[in-house]
Amino acid sequence: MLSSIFSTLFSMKFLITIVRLATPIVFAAIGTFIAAQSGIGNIAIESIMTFAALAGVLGSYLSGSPWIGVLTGMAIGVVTVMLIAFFSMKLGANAFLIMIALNTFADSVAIFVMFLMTGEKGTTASLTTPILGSWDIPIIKDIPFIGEVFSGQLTLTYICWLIVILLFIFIYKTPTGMRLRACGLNPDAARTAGINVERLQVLSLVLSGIFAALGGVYLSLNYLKIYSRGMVSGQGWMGVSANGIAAGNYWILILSAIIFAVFRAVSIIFSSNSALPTDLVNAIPYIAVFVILTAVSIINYYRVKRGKVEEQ
Amino acid sequence: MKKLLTVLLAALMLFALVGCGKKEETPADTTPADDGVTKVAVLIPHRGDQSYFDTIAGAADEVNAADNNITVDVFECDPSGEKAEANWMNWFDNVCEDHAYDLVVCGNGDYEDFLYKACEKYPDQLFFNYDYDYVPETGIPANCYSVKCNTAELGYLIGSLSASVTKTGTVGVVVGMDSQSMNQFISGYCQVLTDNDVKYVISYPGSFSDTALGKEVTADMISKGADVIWQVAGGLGNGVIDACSEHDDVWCIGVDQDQYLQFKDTNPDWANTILTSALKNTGVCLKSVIEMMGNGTFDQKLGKAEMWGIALNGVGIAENDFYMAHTDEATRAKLNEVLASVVNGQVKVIDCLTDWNADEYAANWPALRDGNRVE
Repeated sequence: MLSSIFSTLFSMKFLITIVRLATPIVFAAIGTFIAAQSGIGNIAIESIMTFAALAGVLGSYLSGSPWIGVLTGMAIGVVTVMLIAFFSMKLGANAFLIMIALNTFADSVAIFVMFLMTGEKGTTASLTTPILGSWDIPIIKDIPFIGEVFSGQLTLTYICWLIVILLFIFIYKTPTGMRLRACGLNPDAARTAGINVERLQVLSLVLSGIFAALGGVYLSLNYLKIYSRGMVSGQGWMGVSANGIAAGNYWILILSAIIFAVFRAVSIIFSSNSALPTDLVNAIPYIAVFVILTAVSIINYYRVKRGKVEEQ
Repeated sequence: MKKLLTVLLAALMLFALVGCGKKEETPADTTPADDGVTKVAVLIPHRGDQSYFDTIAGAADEVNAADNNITVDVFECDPSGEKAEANWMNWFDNVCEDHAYDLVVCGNGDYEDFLYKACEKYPDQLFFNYDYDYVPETGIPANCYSVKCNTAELGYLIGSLSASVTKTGTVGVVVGMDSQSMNQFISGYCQVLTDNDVKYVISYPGSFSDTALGKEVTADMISKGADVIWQVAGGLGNGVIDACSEHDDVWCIGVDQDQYLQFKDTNPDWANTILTSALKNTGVCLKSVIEMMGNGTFDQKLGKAEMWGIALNGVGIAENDFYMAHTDEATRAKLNEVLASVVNGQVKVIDCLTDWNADEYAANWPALRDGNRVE
């Protein structure tokens, strides 16, 4: 029994599962990260993913093109973050409260809109939705091991990893990216240096909304072919947690997102196994979040104590 | 000026009160016995859930559409699903007060408390509970009949079908949560598969909504050789269907309602992987009870709680065209034998929810579950 688990853990199939499961979490993670870099803690990722997942399906259904669906989802993501920006920056409301409100009503609003459009409250299965497919990379797909992992994945997975690289270049290698980070590190100093802090914060929020929206659209328009109520199921929160673990380090962020996907995949393998109680198995990804966050805080505590890094 | 306004407002309020009073005093014109029309009120939270409540509402619509002296009014009492007692009691008051209905129908564990309270409040009114969760300590009220679809027998049926359809000798089931009431679905399933020496995979993803998890869990099962996969997992089941649809030689079995019909027009890829569906025929129960009202046998049922299994058509499988086209004569004949043997009592289906209390469940369930399970 245990040997069967181990053989699964080191199989190709397991690796591919991780790639599939990691995409939405990575999207959510970079969405949180870019906002955090400019000094805004965007915890509305879960709700943006929900809205975008539904909007993507509706856009795709109404236009007949899945790419229009993706754009619709992204547009809804931008609209949501602009709402947050408007209420918090213009009207001075507490941004966290607005985001909590969004997260609280996201599922219900999605169900309401779905009911208006389809007359159903469970899924959008009554709409024939064109969806994005997967992509076979011409030459790579014939290479034995690499081909199986790197080729034939879903389209948005490739876009995800492309964005991961581009975002790194943007944040760390371009002047705008550096100014954006300056806003997060010390807004007053940035303002003194002549940087328009609000504008850069809005920019980073917009990017954050787009990335989160892509994560949602991936779930409904690429991974599955319908919106099903509650389908985001905490994957946005995993992205937010990954950002918490990374503490500003981009590659640790990506790594933590992948680790969450790994634990999700592990819980899948154990879910059909009587070795552990199922309640415990289902909690594995969340226990992982807890354990890793605790470990990271302890490590940071000792690093600060030894004077290796300054307290943030 | 201000005083005048106050007086006017007071007068208006008084008027409104009188108006209300008047409306309530008006006696109902159609007392049930008068016109020979049987009137039934069905109280559900809302339509449009694509399964449970739509089944009941759909049965009501069918009865209405048929040429008979029966009208069924469906009331959508709780669109937002708040389960607030005041709201529900208000709805029961509305339908019971004038005795305008011969029968008031409600059900489901979430709402049956309100139903039983209404039974007490309106002792002259007849009630029907189409899906009870438990029998109250004082017993079922004398003016109510409660039924429940026997999902253990349903699982036995699906297990038998899976056993005869599988080519790999391994089948699978995805169950939303690991609980005694969810396991009722699969206690008969495990029993029959172990008896037939067919291997099975059980997966508990621990969610009813996480479609991504559903898809991956199913992909894992398929890689273990399962080629007939039953889903009992609500919205997560959509992920199960999607995973099955990616493999030509894997069948999915739906749940609650005929999921082939649900997806046939809009999502043919999915429909064409759904061999059949495990039906909880709450609609059939409703129709049968309305029939009993007509022929006068309903009175004998009052004060009782009964399980409607295969014999009473409370559970069954969807025998649509697709099922007929993709199963052979031998499979169907075999399944009919199973049906007969359950109905005539040759086979005793184990029901982990009603046969066992919590302690017996804890002691006996793991052995039944792990009978021929592969991991």
